[in-house]
Amino acid sequence: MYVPIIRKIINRNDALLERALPGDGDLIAKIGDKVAPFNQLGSCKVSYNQLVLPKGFNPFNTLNLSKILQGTTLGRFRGEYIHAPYNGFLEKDFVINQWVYKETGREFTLLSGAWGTVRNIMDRRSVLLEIYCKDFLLPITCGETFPGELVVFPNPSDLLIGSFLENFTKDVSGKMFYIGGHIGLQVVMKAKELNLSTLLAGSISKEAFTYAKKEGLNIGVFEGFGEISTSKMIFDELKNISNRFVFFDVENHTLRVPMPSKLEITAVKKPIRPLKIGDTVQIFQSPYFGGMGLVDTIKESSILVKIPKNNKLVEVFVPNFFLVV
Amino acid sequence: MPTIAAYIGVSHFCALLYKNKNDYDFFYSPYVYLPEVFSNYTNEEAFYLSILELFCKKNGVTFSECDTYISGFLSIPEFKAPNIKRMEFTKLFDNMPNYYPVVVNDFAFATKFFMISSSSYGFLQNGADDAAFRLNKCIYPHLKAIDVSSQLSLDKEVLSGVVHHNLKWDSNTPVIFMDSRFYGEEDKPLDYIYMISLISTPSVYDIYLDRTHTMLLFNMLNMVLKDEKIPLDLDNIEHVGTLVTGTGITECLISSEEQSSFVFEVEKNTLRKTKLEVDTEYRIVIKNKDLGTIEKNVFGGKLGLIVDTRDNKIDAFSNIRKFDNYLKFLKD
Repeated sequence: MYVPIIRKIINRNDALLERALPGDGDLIAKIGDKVAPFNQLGSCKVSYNQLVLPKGFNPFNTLNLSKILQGTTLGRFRGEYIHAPYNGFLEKDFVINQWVYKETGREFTLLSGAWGTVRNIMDRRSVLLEIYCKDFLLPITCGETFPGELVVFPNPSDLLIGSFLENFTKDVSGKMFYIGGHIGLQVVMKAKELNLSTLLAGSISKEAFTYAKKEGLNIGVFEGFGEISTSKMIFDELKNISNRFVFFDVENHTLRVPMPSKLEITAVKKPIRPLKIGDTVQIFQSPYFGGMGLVDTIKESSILVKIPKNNKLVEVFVPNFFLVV
Repeated sequence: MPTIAAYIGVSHFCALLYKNKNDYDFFYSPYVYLPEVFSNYTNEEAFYLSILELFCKKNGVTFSECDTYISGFLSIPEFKAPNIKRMEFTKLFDNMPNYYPVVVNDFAFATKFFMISSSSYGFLQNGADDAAFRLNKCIYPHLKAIDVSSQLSLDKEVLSGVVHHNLKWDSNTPVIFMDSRFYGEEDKPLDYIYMISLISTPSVYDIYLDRTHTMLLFNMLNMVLKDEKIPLDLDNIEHVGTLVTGTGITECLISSEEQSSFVFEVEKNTLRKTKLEVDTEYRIVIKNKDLGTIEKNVFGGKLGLIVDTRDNKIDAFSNIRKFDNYLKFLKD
């Protein structure tokens, strides 16, 4: 019986990670530099707010367009004065042929976010790093790619998730949260209320996923839909990396976690191979969906799997399992 | 030079390695490449090549010495290997004038000029567990339902689409069902009721079941090895029997050379099975308001003669008790 291999966590010593400035700036990193997460790679000025002024608007001639203080009158349009909402400058956008008022640029500092080596530098914009990392598989994702600090909850029960969210989410900016084994609708609604942008969990309900997609939340799920606990092998790793700066990649279904030193690599020659007694498999069949165990017996249309948690032998029908390496 | 015909379904992969008319071998894998699950360490081409290499190794040949033709439902991956050629799914039925091929998987239904996917027909799940199973099946399409209600829910969705579009079935040639929905030995009564329910146009049908895609793979080979005229290996194809479908009371007369004739009546809204000897020829006469009088010579099969006078074929797929009665009836 040939069975494909699922790789829940992949250790990599040569993963490439691009760290980019939001605009052109000055990069201080050089090719070959060794970096750590808090090393600065470069900086630039960023305008976070801008106001597109109406067609036909023209600024007062007396105005210094390059430096305008908050409250200054910019001009008059249809009998009404328009004032500067913040400190900034005025620019004509020749594509839309309208004036745009932009907030004065604030300093943006680009940090490495990972341990590794600078491999390439692209103009004044980005740095390519070669890093050590663990890639966690997220079969279900939605939203946008997001780098941020990972906060790991200790698999709280449904009743406690609410209070965890209340108590541990005072400052949510730039953070993502491993919520626990399961995300239900109440949890995702509470997360939206608290302005959380990115949630990770073992499983998710259909209603919660639909709501998250509608509201534009970023979601990453390690196992599947329904009420499925996070695999022990995943949670054991996650709990050791709480507060690490990590990278949630929606398109590649991956949570990339930088590691400080070289990792041991498990080579997989072929993505599919014959099943053997003693192999570890992940089960995709109720009531053990998502669980892992060791192959005890191989029959023609099913296998018997020993679940380490309770030492029980369960029958799993072909093809409701994958090999885990 | 050995030739491989391979087919990538929605949830399975099968292949036929052909050396000559007396030396060929089948391979079936209930797994396909899943981008959400495997793309973190491999790609589609590497995945299928490793399966084909294992298959070739088992048969004592190397993959590079084989001419390989690959088709799929509905998309076929791009392969860089020079010995692999792709064959469009829509062309696979071209060379089958003697059969009415029907491809059914858990997500779609296709025949010569008709195709429907369940997703285009809505999402008819029964409760939270079923919703989770259905959603997980979108990520892990190979998953096999182990409880009858989950499988019924999947079947009902495809069946509803076929009935809704009022597909006109052709009874002039034998109907042959195939694809991943029918893979495996278990749940046979469930498979038969599903096949019977899919056929809605009143007529008399000769039904076959190809659980291993033998017909499609041989057809692919015959399309590329035109001079060889490879005969179809019928050992893998099951003759299910003869289906009479039409609403209202139906009268049937069955006779054969070895047996005296007998007559029976099937009431409306009933499913009845009459066992006939496999490979024995019978003469049947059918009288029904939809069909008029039909006389036909038929061969017995796995089920024999099935008379289906049900008005509504979808009902049983949401009423487990009704369905259970049909299952018991087919087992008798």
